[in-house]
Amino acid sequence: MKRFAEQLLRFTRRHGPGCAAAVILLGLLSGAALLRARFTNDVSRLFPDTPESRATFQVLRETRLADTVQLEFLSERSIVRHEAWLDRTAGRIAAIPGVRNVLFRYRSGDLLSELEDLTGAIPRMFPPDILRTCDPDAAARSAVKQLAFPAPGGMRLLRSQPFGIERTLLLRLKNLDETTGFLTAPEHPCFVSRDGKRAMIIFESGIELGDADAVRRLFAAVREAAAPLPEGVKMRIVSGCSHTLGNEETLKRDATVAGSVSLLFFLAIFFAFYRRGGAPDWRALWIPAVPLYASLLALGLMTLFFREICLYVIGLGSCITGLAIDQGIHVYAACRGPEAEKRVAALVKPMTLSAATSILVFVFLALTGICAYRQLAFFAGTSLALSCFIALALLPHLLDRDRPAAELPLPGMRFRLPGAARLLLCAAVAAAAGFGIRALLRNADFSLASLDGTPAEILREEAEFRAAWRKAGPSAAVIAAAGPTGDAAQQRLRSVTDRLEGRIAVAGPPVPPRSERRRNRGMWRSDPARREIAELETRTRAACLRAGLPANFFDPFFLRLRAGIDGGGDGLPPLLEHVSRRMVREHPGGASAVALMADSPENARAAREALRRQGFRDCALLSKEAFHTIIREELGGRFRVLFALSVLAALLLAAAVFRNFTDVLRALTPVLVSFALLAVLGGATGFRATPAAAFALVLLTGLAVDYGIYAVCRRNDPDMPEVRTPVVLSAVTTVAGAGALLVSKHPALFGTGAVLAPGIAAACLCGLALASRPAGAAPKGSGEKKKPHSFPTAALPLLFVLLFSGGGCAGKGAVSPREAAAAEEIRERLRLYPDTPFTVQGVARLEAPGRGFTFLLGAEIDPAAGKIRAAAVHPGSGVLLFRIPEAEAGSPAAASPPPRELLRTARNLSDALRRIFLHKNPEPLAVSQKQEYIAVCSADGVETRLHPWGMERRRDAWFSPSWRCEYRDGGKETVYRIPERGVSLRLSIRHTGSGEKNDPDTGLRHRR
Amino acid sequence: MPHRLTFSALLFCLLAALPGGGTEIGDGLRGAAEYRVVTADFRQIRRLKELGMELTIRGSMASERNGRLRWQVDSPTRSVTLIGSETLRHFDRETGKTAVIRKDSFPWLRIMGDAMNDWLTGDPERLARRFKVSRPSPGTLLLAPTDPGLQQFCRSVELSFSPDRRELRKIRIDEPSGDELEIIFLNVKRDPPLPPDFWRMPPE
Repeated sequence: MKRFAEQLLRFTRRHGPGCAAAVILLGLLSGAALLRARFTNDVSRLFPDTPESRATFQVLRETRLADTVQLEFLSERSIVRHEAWLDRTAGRIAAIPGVRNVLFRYRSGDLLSELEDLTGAIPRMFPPDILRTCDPDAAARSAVKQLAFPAPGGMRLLRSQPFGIERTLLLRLKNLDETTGFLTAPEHPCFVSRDGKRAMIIFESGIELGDADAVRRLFAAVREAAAPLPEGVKMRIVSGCSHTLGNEETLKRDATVAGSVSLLFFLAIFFAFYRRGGAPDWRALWIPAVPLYASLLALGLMTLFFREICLYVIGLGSCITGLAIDQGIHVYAACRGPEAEKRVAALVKPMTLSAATSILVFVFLALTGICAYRQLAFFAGTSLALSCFIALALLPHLLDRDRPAAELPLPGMRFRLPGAARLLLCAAVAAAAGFGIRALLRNADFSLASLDGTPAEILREEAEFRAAWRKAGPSAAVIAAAGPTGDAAQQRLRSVTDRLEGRIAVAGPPVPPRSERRRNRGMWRSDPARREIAELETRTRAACLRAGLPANFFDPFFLRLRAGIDGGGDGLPPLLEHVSRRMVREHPGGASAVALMADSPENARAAREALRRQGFRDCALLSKEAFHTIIREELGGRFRVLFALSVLAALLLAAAVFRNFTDVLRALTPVLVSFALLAVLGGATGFRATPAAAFALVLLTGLAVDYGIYAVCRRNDPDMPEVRTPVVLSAVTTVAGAGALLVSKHPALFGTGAVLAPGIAAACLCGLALASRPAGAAPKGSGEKKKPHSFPTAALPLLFVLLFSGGGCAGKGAVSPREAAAAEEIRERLRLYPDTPFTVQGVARLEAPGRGFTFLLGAEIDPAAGKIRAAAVHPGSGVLLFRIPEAEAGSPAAASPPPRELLRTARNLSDALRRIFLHKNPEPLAVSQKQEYIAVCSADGVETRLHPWGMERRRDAWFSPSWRCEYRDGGKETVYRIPERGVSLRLSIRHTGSGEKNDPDTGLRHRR
Repeated sequence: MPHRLTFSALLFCLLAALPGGGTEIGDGLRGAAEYRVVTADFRQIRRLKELGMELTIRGSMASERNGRLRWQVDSPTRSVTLIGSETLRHFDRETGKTAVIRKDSFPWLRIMGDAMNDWLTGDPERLARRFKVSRPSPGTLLLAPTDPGLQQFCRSVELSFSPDRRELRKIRIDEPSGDELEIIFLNVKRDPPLPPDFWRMPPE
């Protein structure tokens, strides 16, 4: 290899102008190709290309369900006074090109007429067989009973709907209403919230997933159509499209920041180290130019193979550039004096080997089947290979050979420990790493949010929107089907929902497909059906007379039924029309149909099974739970294999080159050290491992092994130049590139930076230690025998711990707490207290070691505002002990002064009560089946565990004071413990005064 | 759903018809605030204009102040309806079945509930928010709903009080269709002794 490198250098020196021209030409071609390239931030590119995820995103794209936009109008006073303006605004929005199905007013306003209209729709909704269910005598008896009610206004309905056939349709609407949890003020025929202060206009935008430019144009047009807003009214756009826009802005910002930081670091290094006679060595600027140019060439090549380039890959580009700079730094350090070419040629082995390990890891990433990683693998692999080639073949001719190589004043990092101490140290590190890995797995976040970089402001607005317009409880999951027509889509949807019938509650479109509606009406128009209607009419008249009603009492029903049979239109009653249009959508190029169900793990499992049997043909489940499962199973499962393969590949490559067990292990030592450090750091800080962080770990294997390779080559090759300075400089550039990602707001980029920055730093330090030749030791090539070093061998336990401890990372063995047997119990427990303001009074018993103290506790809790006010009174004297939040504690007048523990607890009691009474919305967190509890984690980081013996709540970070809270006797008794202090507080909650409602389940009274 | 709608309207009407429910209405129609429960017999006459039909229903009712209401129909059908703050329970004596409707599961109850509260408080300002209140004769109040939701069910509500203005004697509701609903209260008693299982559902 060395000889080949020397020949290559001689060739490029002889044909310098030709080589330069070829490289420049390639650059120009790449630039031209890039100008025509398309970029995207479509999140589907971050998913593996399996039948399920492929179908999911294909259906999501074809059904255009993500293109729905909700315009929310907020007012301090009643928004209803702006109803006319909202109608006009809806009209202006409908005129925006591409906008469809604008909906603000969804009913006519006359509910009774709308209900009556359902009778006329019977002939299209049902076949004539439905008449056989009609019982005239029962209808007449029921009519008399209803007339007995002192109810005004219902007579029209009673006469036109005697047999309750229409109830089937209304029940379908009710099921839909309950499934979506959508809340509107029913007294208004348009979208107005229950408090009357918000209104909403809904429309479909027709924007393709990931097209941020189109979203930007649409939002501008919408704002223009809504301007000027009435005084005191604010408008908010809530849509999946906002995620497209938010993700793009986040990624662009992150890429800019990361690139700038990386560049600044290099410039700092350049001005600090690459100087000649006090002036900067300008030729050193070729060092970053080489990887940048190689990146340009790689991106140009990408356009030949990929239709769209993920912005995520560009974001990581700064990191890749940081890796490739290393090669130039090493060449710069070697390229000195008349022996420069020989010294550079000596680098060919470590440079190509380190590039090969990195490229191999990227190749493994490509094998995940994830489009973004395939692109990343192509980009990084090509970029690294080209950069390596240019750095070896061309860079030496561009550098100044006369400048003496600057060396960093690095301290000797060689240290020796006795054998037993080394083993003990390694075992301790391995134990800490194993513990850290378990903590990391516990905190792993493989949710969709871990791939979503939407800004917090947009997420907050969405949460507010949901709180205002939806009931609390599980959100709705969507089973979607795509097809060329609405009928075809609805038929496909039925092929899935029919499989679920009787197993789970699924709310499909309330009306049958158009073809079925026509077929039904045709059947009603047949002579037998008409005869059947006439017979029923005769029997009904007789039944009315028997019940004391006029014979013609139910005539309106038969009139409307016959009008529906003989009518020619296909329009739906207003009550069904808007729902049907939203559930069966037809748009240019296709149609979609959706069914809804509660987004629970059980439902998701059943729906996925039905979809799998159907073969995922143009049907998919779209829900948080489904995405969570796909990420957990598809990404989590692949990660383990990929991780093991990357370590194995690095091992095999090193073995192929070094052919010595000790050297191979020595080359892998920086990898092991960086993994151990990451495990310990991750466990200690409560870091949430995301899919991006997991895959960055794979990447780290390929990068960290480089430092071991340089160190081993330096130890073994007498021609090899001193590598400690270039290793440090290259590590600094890499860490700067990766560290810049730590300021990223996109979780995928942040996760990557959080793994790579400390990992590379640790690998560099380890490589420096390994590269330091011990005093008196000679390189292997010098012929002197060297005592084998035992340190790397001692690292073996660490390797095993890292590879095999807690290997169940979010894989198929993991179980969501919501899927666990006691899931319902935990949900019930968290629902224990009401959402409306309530008060509790209780006898609190504080127990400290050796003594106990009882006091009366009264608290006013406002869950909506998240506020708690409480006061504690001495039961004997009635003296106020303390108040919360004022925290006025301690009255010397108390008959028995409270212990210090109480006063200390009082200061924290507000926080404790908040956790006891306000913790309601558990977020699922995957836990291992091996563990004997279910864990849920709230947004503020409090973990709740359900043990067989009760419920325990505790903070989930290391080294922080833990506390726990157990509910007993259906919440009537709550025990709050601070084990570290040996203190417990027992709340025995009892009833409060009059005028308040008693909850029969808990015995609590809460104020409405 | 149509039946639920009917129930909600029932709730609206029943609670409006509390014989002793008012405290102070308009310009001095005074009710008795000092009672715990009031009972009465009623005669309810429904006139259906289009069919030229008149149907008379008889029964009894009991109402707790700020609490439950029990509406019992004895003729021509037999049923008991118990209305609480959260649910409406209807027991059909002929079939032996009980139907339960939760207020939060049927949003139209809210409209009726708001109207009900207005009537119960007797606060002229609150009444004026949903009704145009007038006094066509001494001891009579005429309420015309201004709320579009209520206008669908009734055109006007006429409340007639006893000469001493302490008791509501009659309520007449004119519907938009031209139909009429009249409820006459008889034998009104305040705080009478009630059997212990009086409020039980289903009743014995």
